[in-house]
Amino acid sequence: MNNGKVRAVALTRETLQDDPTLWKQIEEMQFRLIYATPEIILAPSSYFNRVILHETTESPFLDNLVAVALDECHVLPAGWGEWRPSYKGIGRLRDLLSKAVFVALSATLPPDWLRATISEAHLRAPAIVKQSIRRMNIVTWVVEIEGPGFTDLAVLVPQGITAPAEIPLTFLFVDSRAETIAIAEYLRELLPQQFRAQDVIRSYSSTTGALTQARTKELIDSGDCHIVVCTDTLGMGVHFKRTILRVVQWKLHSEMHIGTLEQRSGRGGRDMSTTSLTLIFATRANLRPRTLDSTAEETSPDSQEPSAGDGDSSFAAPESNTDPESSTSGPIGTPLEFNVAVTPDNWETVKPFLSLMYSATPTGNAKRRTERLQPHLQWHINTHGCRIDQKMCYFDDENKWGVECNTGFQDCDPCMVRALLGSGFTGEEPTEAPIIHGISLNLTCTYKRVFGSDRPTKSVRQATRLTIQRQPVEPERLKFVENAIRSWRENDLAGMLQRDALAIGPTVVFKDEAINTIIARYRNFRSMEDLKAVLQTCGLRFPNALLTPYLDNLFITITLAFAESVSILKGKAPAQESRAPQHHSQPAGSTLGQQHPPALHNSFQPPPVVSVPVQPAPAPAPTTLRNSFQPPPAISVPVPPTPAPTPATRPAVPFIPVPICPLPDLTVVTQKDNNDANPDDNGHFKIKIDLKRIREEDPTWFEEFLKTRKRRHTARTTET
Amino acid sequence: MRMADINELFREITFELSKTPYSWQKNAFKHALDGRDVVVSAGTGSGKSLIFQGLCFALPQGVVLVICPLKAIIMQQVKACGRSR
Repeated sequence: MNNGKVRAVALTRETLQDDPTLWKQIEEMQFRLIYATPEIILAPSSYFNRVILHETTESPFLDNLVAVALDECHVLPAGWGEWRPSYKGIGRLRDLLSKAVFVALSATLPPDWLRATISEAHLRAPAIVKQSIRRMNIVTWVVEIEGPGFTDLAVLVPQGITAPAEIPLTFLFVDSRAETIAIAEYLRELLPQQFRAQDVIRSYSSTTGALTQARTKELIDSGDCHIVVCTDTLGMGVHFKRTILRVVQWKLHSEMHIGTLEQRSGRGGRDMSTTSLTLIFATRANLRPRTLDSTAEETSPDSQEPSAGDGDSSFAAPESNTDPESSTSGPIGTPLEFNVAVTPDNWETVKPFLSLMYSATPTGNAKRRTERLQPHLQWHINTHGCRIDQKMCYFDDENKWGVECNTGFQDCDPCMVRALLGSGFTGEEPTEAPIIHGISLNLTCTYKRVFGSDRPTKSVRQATRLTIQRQPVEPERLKFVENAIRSWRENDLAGMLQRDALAIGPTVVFKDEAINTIIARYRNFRSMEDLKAVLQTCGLRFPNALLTPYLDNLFITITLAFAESVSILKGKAPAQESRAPQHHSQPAGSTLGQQHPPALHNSFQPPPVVSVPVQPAPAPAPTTLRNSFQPPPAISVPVPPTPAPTPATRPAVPFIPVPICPLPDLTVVTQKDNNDANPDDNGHFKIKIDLKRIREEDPTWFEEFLKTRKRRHTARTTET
Repeated sequence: MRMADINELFREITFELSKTPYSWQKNAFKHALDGRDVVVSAGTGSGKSLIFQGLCFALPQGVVLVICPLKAIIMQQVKACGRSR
């Protein structure tokens, strides 16, 4: 702040370690703004909780405490599983500090989250101050995943790029740590060889080391990193110097809330003068038509016949979307179809369904993820009307109906397609679709639904796949990966087995045969599922195999080793160099060219250009019509050596600790008073655990805990 | 101890932070000075942090405790306050 008149201090575990006198300084009133992580304040053993709240009789600090602010308070309801443990006790704090006011702040508080925040933090009849969160510079598109693996993401890397700067700064959100690395690796393979250094595309998750995380942030700010594949860790609050132009959500799942999506999407376009694109990749199962029943559970009408309002017909006459007569939503009592548009006209009818949606609560159980989305999100991606209007209605925003939305500015794929159709729609595809940051509107599910019902058949897709021949991986690299796996087995796996008190050697849990299979079929896996499938062929059964808890770790090790192995081929580089670019320089060439009209290839433009939607041209040839609905080019490029500046010796494989719950030897006191932590006669704290509550709050941890306790027990009994 | 009244608070904020609160921010301040809890829902970058920063001035020696889940945000905000620790 200006003049340095308001002194602020950060209290985190690290800053307190660096300067243990911080609390003293605070008690001496040296600071007026104290920023702290929830653990520092709320943990029962924290200085604040023990001394300031309970022991100090006269505290000028508490006397002058005007307010307690809960910043980013949506983490309370949003991250039930992840954040809740650290916020435990927030309600009690509110009750204890009766003099101070509590201010909870967030950018995303739909009514259900608002209610949850108020009850969790015991806020007393709070005043709600609301500002519209509608952002006019964010465009949301939904794309259906059609190709295998991550091939649909290939559109993020423009073909034939000549400089990394041609890739608009992109944040790609993935909900699995293992996938962040695999996707980053996949995208890197799409880059021309000379840009394949690790910095253009980076992965970022909570398990990435602090140094690597800091480095990634630096590289984003300096403009060297263009695509960040990340988990939610980058999903809120942190500002970057450069404007994020594309936010990509890779896959949705049942535990995801539309508020989380909004947080992520809000990373983009902080600079209000730039348009940012939010691209949601949804699976076919996500996009299947479903209905929400007002009385019963949701239904998934797999066998149900599509209703009259379903499918393409709603776009044949664009006006029908705003016409309440033809709207598919009925009065309460009839189910709500998720493709219905929310408009001011049918708002009253649709409203009761919203309250139904607010009452749904997430389980917070990461293991129960399915493709069956929560109703609000299902509606968001299925609606044939404006997606943003629907979202703002869910958020109960002041500006529900974008004032400009229908007068030139379109902020989602249905709106843009409708604009493209104009009034004189004749059923033919426009010659040119709008392109935002290198992504064409013709990839979106709305565009495909309206202009091309003929989705590529399976055989076409298979044919495309067959023509792409992956070059064999050099034996040196495989050897390198194999060594890395063996070293992982000898060191990491052995260590983890020991820690978990399993008296079995690592070679028994993870046999040589399994390693050989992995090496032999390396190219066949891109995700954890693939790894499992490969291992199953050599006799391992999941989830019974002893290796199961360590799979995540193994997968990361392999992916990292493979990425690193590029550097060992340094010496061989010139011989192979000629092959790789050639692969790239044939965009319209032999194998793929047939399916891609040149328009697609020329469509990649430098970052901030938004092309204006065009009127459909009169009658384009039917062949073009057919051909432009192909899935994004599933290009796979062999991984040729990079002339990396790294030494040829094997770099230390960075060990990424996958949190397999830390289990110290605890004295477990179940079901008893868990509020107080009093030292025993020796001055030691006995940690009391309310197992029942933990089981409710964090089932994953609980399961791990039980497993480990059982294992320990068996280990002990066998010892005696 | 007497809380500052709303006009005093605004004067103080304008003087100390060289910022003039928007009407919705004023609204939030008003409720907080009345001793009510406040929930603020506003877009990113709209000036939410001014609300807790400004509340320091409700008392001559006023202190505000901000609980924030992400260290990165904390560090950024403290740095913006001109004194990083």
